[in-house]
Amino acid sequence: MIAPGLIWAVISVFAAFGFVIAVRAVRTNSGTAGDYYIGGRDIGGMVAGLSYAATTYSAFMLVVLTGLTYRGGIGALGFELIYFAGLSLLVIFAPRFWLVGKRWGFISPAEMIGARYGSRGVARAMAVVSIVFLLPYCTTQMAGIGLLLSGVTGGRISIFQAVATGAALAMFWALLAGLRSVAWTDAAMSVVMFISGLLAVGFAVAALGGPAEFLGTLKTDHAKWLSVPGPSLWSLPTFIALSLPWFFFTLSNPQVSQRLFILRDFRAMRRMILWVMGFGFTFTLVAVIWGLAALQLAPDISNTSMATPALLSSGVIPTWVVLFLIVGILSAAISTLDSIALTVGAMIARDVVPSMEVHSDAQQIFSGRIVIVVVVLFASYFALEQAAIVDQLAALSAAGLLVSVPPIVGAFFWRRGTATGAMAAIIGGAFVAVWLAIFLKVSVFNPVLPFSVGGMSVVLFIAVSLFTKPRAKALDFQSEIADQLTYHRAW
Amino acid sequence: MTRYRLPNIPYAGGKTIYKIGKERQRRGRATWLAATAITVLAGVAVPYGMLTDSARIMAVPLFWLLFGVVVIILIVIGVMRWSDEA
Repeated sequence: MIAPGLIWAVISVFAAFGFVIAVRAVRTNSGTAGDYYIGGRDIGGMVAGLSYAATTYSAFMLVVLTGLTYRGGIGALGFELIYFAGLSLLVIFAPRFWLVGKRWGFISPAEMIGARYGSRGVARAMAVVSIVFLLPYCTTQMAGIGLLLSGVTGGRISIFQAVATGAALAMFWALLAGLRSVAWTDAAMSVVMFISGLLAVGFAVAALGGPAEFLGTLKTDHAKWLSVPGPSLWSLPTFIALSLPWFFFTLSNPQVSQRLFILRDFRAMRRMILWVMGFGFTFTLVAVIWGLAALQLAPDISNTSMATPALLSSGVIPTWVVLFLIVGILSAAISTLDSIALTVGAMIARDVVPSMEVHSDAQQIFSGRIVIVVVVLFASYFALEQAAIVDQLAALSAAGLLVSVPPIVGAFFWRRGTATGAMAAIIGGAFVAVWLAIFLKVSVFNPVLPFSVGGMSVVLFIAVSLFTKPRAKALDFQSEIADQLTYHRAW
Repeated sequence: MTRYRLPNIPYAGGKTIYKIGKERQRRGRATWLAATAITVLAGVAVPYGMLTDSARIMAVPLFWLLFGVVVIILIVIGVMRWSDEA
């Protein structure tokens, strides 16, 4: 077990470091809503890439994914790499998001979709549905912090104390300077996540006798974990059920797709994608190797979400590395949480509150800040209430957010798509997700859930669009940016 | 060959492009999309099909590592062709 005093000391240093970065970010903000929510569209490739990576690679990786590896083996690597392959969507969609964002001044993806179909109702529906399905995902970040700090101290840091700490940091960094403080602290935190993860895995593998010995023991004692379906969990239906919604994460999750508005230029866009790829591929391997190492160093854990805390308190990892990794996982959770809170704040301020577009920048920022506080408090409350269902909540949000994919794809590739079709896809798909998961208790490990949600959303979007007419004020993204795409040689 | 000037692109600097460029881009995009779709499908089908009963213990992990590398190559191909000029 780790002494709570040591953990509090390290978290204090971490918080002070983040405070300095966030305060510096405040000085560069100009006070406009665009500056607060998307950094004035002037963020460089490296910061954007690391911020994207820190946002998308959350506490899920070193808490849940390691648990899935521990329980089911190498299928976790395949699942996460299918998600990683979803980054290929950026090749097609990143230039389009950026060009239309620059052309019409969009701040949130919901605002963009609403303008495309000429309907504020569509923007509002997309924002509300995104918020409904993102909150469970926020909860998992908080739950991850709670499980980790409570687990490594044997409960001497309570889940409440851990969640309150995470909430305070996430709230502070998002409130202070908006996207700039979030992006800058995200970038710094991603470095902590990356280095601490590599170090921890290095020490874990070394404790097992080095890479050759680690692999040898794995092949001898846990051969099933190196194949699919493995010892349990990774049957083909389960693999598809989890992978399908995560493949579209890049488009479906507004806190991620909003990152495409913040970029300075095409050079920054390319660099961002390269940074995310490098980080993502390495971090995926780290998380899976960490789970396989836990299998050998801390066997017989019943709750696999506790694999990481068990490994950290097993005594084989030096204390300073344990502390560093705790900060790394805390970083992963907070960077995802504050990004979601900021994006939700932007969507409420721009898309949900009636006539907010006529409000001043200060009013839009103020309403967004209130939402950030509410979101973080909401996530904290549910983390305290339901910390045991971490896996299910994270995956359900991915399936539910699938409903925004057909309207987004249609916005750029199907002129015939209509506001009514987009609305039907979002509302109908969301209804199916809630009905199946909440009322019929269909598990997120069952492919019926994502196929029904995604399928219903696609069918409704196409069918209803064909029976209705595009609105007169709908924008034609395809024609408007066609020449720019050609000019920039973007597909 | 028809030539035209880019309309309403303030940061294009009035540069001239060819319509044939759009055709090439469409073909390139179709090829890239097909390659990416096949890769992603292979990422599921090969481990759960060909490699399920493989005698080689490391076959599935090594395949997925290769899969990750191919995805990286595809994305690099997609973004390295972008023109940065503004």
